[in-house]
Amino acid sequence: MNFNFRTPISAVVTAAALTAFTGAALAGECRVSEASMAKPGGFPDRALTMIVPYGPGGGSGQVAAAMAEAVTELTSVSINRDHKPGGSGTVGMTAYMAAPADGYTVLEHIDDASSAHALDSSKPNPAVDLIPLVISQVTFSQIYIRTNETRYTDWPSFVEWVRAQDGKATIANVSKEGSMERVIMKFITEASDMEIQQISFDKGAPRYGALLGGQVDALFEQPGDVRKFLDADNFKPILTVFNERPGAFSDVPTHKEMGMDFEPLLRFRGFYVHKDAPSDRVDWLKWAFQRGYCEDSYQAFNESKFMTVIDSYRDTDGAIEMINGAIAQYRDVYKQMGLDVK
Amino acid sequence: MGNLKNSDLVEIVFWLLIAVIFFSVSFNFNQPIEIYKFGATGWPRVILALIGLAALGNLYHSFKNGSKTQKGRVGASEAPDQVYYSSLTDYLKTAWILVIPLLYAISLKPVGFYFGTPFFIALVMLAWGERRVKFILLSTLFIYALLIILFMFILNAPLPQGNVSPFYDFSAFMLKMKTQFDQLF
Amino acid sequence: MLDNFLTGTATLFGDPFTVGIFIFGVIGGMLFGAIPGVSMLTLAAILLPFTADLSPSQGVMLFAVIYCTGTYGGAITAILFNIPGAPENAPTAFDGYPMTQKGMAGKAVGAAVLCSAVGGVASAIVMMSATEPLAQWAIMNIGPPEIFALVFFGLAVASSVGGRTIWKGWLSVLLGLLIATIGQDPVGGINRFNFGFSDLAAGIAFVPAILGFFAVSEIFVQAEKKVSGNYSAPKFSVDFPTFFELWAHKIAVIRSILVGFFCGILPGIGATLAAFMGYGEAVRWSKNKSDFGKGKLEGVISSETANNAATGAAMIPLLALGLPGGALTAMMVAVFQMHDLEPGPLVFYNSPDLIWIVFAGMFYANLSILFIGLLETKTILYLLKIPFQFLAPMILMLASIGAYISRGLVLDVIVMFAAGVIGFLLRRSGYSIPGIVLGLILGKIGEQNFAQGMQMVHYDLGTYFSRPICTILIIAGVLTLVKSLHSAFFAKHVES
Repeated sequence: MNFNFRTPISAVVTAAALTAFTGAALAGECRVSEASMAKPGGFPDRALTMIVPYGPGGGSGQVAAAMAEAVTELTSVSINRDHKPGGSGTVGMTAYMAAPADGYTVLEHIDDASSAHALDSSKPNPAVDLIPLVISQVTFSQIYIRTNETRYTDWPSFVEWVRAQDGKATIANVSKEGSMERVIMKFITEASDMEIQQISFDKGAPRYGALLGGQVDALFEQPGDVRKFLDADNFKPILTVFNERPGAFSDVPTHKEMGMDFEPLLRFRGFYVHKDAPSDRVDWLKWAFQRGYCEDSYQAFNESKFMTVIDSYRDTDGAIEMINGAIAQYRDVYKQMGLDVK
Repeated sequence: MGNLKNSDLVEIVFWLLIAVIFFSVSFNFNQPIEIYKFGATGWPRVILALIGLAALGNLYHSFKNGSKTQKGRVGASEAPDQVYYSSLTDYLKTAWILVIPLLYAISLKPVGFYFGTPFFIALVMLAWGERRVKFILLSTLFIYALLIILFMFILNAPLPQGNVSPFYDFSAFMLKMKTQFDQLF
Repeated sequence: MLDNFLTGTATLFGDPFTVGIFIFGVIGGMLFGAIPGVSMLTLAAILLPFTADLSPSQGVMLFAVIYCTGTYGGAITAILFNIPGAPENAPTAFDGYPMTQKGMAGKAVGAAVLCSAVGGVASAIVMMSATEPLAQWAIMNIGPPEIFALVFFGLAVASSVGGRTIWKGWLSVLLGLLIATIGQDPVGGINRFNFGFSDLAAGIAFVPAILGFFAVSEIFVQAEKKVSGNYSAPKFSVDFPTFFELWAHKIAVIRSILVGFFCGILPGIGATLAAFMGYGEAVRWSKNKSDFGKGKLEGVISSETANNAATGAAMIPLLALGLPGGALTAMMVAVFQMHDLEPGPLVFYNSPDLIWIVFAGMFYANLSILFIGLLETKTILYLLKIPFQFLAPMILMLASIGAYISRGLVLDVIVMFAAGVIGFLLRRSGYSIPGIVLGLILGKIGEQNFAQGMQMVHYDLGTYFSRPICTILIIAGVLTLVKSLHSAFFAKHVES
C-alpha cells in the first residue's frame, strides 16, 4: 500500500483553516462580544441534558464538565451530563439522534464523529445533521520517549534505531481501525520508511505506564493528556505532528521539518445541537457555549490541558469548515488505505 | 444411553448451537487488523472451540456419572428448595414475574423513567400476588416518591426521559418542576 | 511512614468537612453495600459527578472509604439474601446464606464484621509501608504478558472451583468470556456479535450482569416461592460469634490476609479473585471439605478476610501504575482524572498529601467497620421483616437505576433483567454463576493484554516465556487445569 504524500489532499480547506490561527496570540481570546442574551420564549426553563459519548474521566468527560460549569456560571441554567460511553462514540451519537430535537439536549463529540461519517456516510454528519455550537479544543499529536532513554534521544536517532530493529520496535497508541491515530502513524511510517509495531491501549493510564515501565519504546499521544509526565520530566516529545512548531514546544521538530509531507489530522472536541432544533433556541445555545468558552474557569481549564498552545476555538462556521475539511481528508485517506468507504 | 437424561441432551444441543451460531456470525467481522495477526475473530473463536470441547466433556460426564456432583466442588449447592408446579396457571404466574421487568426495561427508551415507573412498581406487586388495592397504591406512591427525591432532587441523576410524546412531555414537566423547586432556594 | 500517617490523620480529622465526607463514605458504603439490589458501585456511580466539587484528596478518599466499607457491606446481603453486593462477596454467600437458612445469620454477619475489619486493617498497614517500593518494582516488571498470565491463572482457579463438575465450571467461565467478546474488539475497534443492535457496540458491562445474576435472579426465586405458596420469610438472629469461635479460625484469617493481599496487588484482578482464592484455599487445607457450602463459618471468614485484605493491596497498582483492580478502583481513576490528576508514580511526588489522607481514611474506615458495622448490622437485619412484596419492587427499581446510571444505557437495564432470568433458570443446573461473572469481568482485560503481549513479543512464544513471572503464572494455571481435569475423570462423585 503506497501513499503519494505529494498529491495535494483534498482538504486544502483544512490545512488553511488550521494554519491560519496558529500561534498563541489568538489562542484563548474571547470572540463573542455580547455578555448576555435574552432567553427566547423562556427557553430554557429547565436543566439542559448534555450527552457525552465517553466516560467522565477522559478528555471528553473533562471538557464536558468544564464547559457545563462555564455555561451554568454564565446563564444560571444547570446542565446534567449524561455519559453514554461505548462503540468509539457511536452509542452516544445514536442515543442523541433519537432524542427529541427541542434544544434541551446537546451533544459533546470529538473528531471521531467526522471520521466515522467519512467511513460510512449513513452515520450522522456533524456539520449537516447537527449544528456545531462551538469547537472548544483543538490539539495536535506528538511522539514521546522516556526522558532517560539512551538508545535514541531525538527523532533521527529514533528512526535509525527503529529501522535496525527490523519491525520489532513498539509504540503505544489508541489504534482503532481508521482512527486519527492509526492514520497518522500510517503516514509517519510510510514517509520515514520504517516499520514499527503499534500496540493499542484503549485506557490512558496503562498506555503511559507501558512507556514509563519500558514495555514499549515510544508513545503516540496529544500533549494535554501527558502533561503530568512532561512536567515531571518522565517523557519528552521528539516529534510534533503539526505544520509549525507551537511556542510551547519550540525545540521539537515538526513532521514537515523531518521530511514528512502530509497534512496533520487534529483532535478536536466540540458541542452540538440537533439540526431540527428551533432556530431561536439554537441561536441562544450558540451564544451560551461560545461565550462559555470565554469564562475564566473554562480558559483556566484549557490552559491546564495545553489547549491554548494553538488556537482551540471555532465558532459555528469555523467548526463546519473544519469538520467538512476533516471528512474530506479522512475519506481520501481511507480510499488510499483500501478501506471500504460507504 | 448410560446415565443420560433428556436434560443432558438439551444441554449439549444448547452449547453446540451457541458455538455454531456465534461461529457463523463471526464471519461478519472477519476482517484483518493490520497491526494484529489474530484479528477480531481469533480470540472469540478459540473460546467457541473450548465451549464445544467442554460441552462434549460435560456430555461424557453425564453419560458416566449422571447428575452426581463431583467431590470437592464448592458453590455448587446453590440450588434452592424445589418449587413444585401443579398447573399451567402456576407456570404462567412465574412467566409473568419474569416478563414484567423485561417489558419495563424495553419501555424505558420510548417511555422513560418518570412515567413508566409507578406502573411497573404496581404491576410487580400484582404479579407477586398482592391484591390489597390500598397497599398497592400507597406503596407505589411511597417508593416512587422516595426514588424521585433521592435520584432526581438530591443526586440530579440523568434518568431516561423517553423520546416519544406524551411520555417525553411528562418527563419535561417533571424536570421543569424540579428547576422551579431549585429556584426557591 | 508513621510521620506521614500521623500527618494524614491530622489532615483527615482536622477539617470538619473532610470528617463529614469520611463519615458519609463509611455509612454510605456500608448501606449501599448492604441494601440488596444496589451496591457500592451504584453509590460510586451516583457520586462520581459530585466529586468534581470536592478537592482531589477528598474525592479519592471518599471512594477509597466506600471501597472498604462497601466490600464489607456486600457481605451482609450475600449472607442474608444470597445476593453478593459485589462479585468479591460471591464466595461469602456459599456458606453465609446456608447459615442464614439454618438461623445462624447473626454468627455469619458477626464473623464478616470482625474479619473484614481485621483483613482490611492488616492490608492498610502493609499498603502504607509497601506501596512505594512495590510501585517501583511493578512498573518495571509487570507488563501485558504478565497481566494476561495473571488473568489466565485467575480463570483457571475460578473454573476449577465453582460448578457441580469441572465441565460445568469451565462452561460457566467460558460463557462469561464469550459474553465479554460482544462489542468492539480491543485492538481494531471492530464491532463483534452485535446482531443488528447498535447499542451492543458498547459491549456487555459487568455491573448490570452482576446485579442481574445475583440480585434480580434471587428476587425471582423468592417471587416464585411466594406465588406458589412456598415462601417463608428468612430467619434472622443477632447471635454474634464468640471470641473463641473466631480465635479457632486464626490460621484461616492469616492465610486469607496473605492470599487477599497477593491477589489484590495484581492489577486488573483484585478483590474478586482474592475472595475466590481465599475461599478455595480454605477448602483445600480443610479436613472436612464436604462441610463447605453447607453453612461453615470458616467459609465466611476466609472469603471476607481475603476480600478486605485485597482493598489495601488494590490501591497499590492503582496509585503506582494507574491500573485499577476492579470496578470501584476503576471509578477512582475517573475521580483522579476529573481533577486533572493521573493516578501513577507521579502522584507520590506531586501529591503526597493526597496519598496519606487516602491511606489514613482507609485505615480508619476498616477500623470503623468493627464499631459501626455491628450497630448497622442490627438495623439491617430488620430489613428482613419488611414485607417482600414491598421490598421486591424497591430492590428492582434501585437495581434498575444502578444498572442504568453508570453508562446511561437502557441496554444495561435490559441486560440486567435478562441476566436475572438466565440466573433464575440456571439455579438448579449446577452451573456456576460467579464463574460466568468472573469470565465476563476478566474476559476483556484478558483479551486486550493477550493481544498486547503477543504484539510486544512479535508472536514469538520463546520471548513470551523468557519473562519469568509470566512463565511461572502460566505454568501454575496449566497445572491447576490439569489437576482439575484429572479429578474430573478420577474423583469420586456424590449425589447432589
